[in-house]
Amino acid sequence: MKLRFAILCTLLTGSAALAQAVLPRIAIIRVDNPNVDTYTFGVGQCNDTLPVGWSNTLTTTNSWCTQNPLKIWATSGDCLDTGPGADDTRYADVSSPVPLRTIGNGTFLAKIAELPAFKAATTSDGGTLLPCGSPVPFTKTQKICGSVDYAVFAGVCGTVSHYAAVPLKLVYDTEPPSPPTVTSHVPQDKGVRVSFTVGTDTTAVLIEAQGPTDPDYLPLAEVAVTSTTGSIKGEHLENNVAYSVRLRAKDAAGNVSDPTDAFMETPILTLGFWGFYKNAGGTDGGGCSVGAGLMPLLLAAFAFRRSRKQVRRQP
Amino acid sequence: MKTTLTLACALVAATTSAQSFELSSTKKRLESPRSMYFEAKLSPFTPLLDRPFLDLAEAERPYYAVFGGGPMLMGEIELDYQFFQKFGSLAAGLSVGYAEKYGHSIDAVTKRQVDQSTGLQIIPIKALLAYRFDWVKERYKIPLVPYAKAAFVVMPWWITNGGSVELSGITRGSGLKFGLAGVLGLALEMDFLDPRLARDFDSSVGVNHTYLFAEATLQEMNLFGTTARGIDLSSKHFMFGLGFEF
Repeated sequence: MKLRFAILCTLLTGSAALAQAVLPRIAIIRVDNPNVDTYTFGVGQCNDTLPVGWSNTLTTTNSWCTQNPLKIWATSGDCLDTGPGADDTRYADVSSPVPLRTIGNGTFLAKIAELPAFKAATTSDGGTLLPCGSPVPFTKTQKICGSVDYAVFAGVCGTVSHYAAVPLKLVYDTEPPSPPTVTSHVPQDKGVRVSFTVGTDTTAVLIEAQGPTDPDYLPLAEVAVTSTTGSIKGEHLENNVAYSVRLRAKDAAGNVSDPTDAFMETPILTLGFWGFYKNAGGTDGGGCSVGAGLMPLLLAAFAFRRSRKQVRRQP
Repeated sequence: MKTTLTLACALVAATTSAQSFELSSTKKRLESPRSMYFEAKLSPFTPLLDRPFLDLAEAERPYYAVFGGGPMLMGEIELDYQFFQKFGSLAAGLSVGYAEKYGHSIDAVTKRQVDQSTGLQIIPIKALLAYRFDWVKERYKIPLVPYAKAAFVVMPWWITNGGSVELSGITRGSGLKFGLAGVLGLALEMDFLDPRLARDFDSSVGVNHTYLFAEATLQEMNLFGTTARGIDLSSKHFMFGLGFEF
């Protein structure tokens, strides 16, 4: 009877503890935008230092079980839960007094030029052997990984296991996007509006124009795009002058595409409501008609002042 | 038997009457003091911009040619302070609104509309006196409040062409207009729809009464310092909205 009772108690306690056992949920994140799991960069960012963060969003309550420090490293291969490989770039381990058994976070700096794909002549995990800044167009994804060794509590401390963090992807991209496709263009007052479609990797579109006396195309404007269609307006042109106009696409890494085929457009003088009104014989000069317009207020102020003076004169 | 039934009915009626009186007097006692009135309103607003151009054909009048003559949509908020509450209420207040209208610009040579937008934006600001005849509502529980307002109006305006304020020669399409406005309106107190909710609204938030209203506005903006064919932002329009007395 006593034995049965002891077994029952152990089972109950164990199952309750098992239900409470919570694993750490660690993620490596961008400090500037924690909701995005990718950082895309190009040749221009090779000398940058990227602030990176880690966060643990689950609390674990079993403080007496083994827990090794959180290891963080960059790799050009896959993130392994056992820890960094020989050619990976290792960052400082996170340990006590920042235990992962509580909800927590921290930051560290990752130098882009020291990522494994750029620093090693040969890599054991298949990294590409081009230095950052190489003019050869290519795309390479590297990752910042994390892992922690942890013993799960289920009545008693279990065996120590490895847990991998959600990695942050670092995409080195020197391949330019495809040029936009011009769908229509219309003349505007001192400008031109061009409608376009772009590929999914395009994040911005640029417009350039060359006038009859310009030695080369000059950039007019840049517009961010969030879908595959859009329009851009080039301004500061002269009316009744023919311009050669073209577009370029730009991706998240700052790579700029080849230009579209150029087309001719001539800005025209347009009348907005103000211009139409003036042309129709409108005589308003704009500005504020303060002198006469404030007359009622001035009269009210004058009357108020007089009444105050009369009150003062009374004994 | 009949007598007993009549007596019982009379008792029930008296009890009910006493209860309703108690409720009514309790409501009266518990109502929080009120001194402010807030309104939020919307209106189709057609400024009389073509009034100085009535000698021209309709298609040559600026507002009709560019905007098609349709109304702008105006939103306005108003806050009044009631400084007299004996026979109706008298209040001083301020209101601020915003209205805009967009159309297509016109090719200066061909006179055809082109794919470029032009817009008119105005911000009517009013310093006003409002009289609300709520004496009948307070005394006889008829949930209608007629009211009248008089206002001094300041109205900044600006016109854009292709996204920036338009220039015509050296004159800029923006300015400030001054005028007067008169308003007549009728408000329906909505507390009768759910008296308990209305009391809760007062006890929890301090809003004594909620109104649905409609008002007619006559706004004359060509009184002070306007030239013969000046920008005329006068109007006759109706506004509809919600009012909260607290």
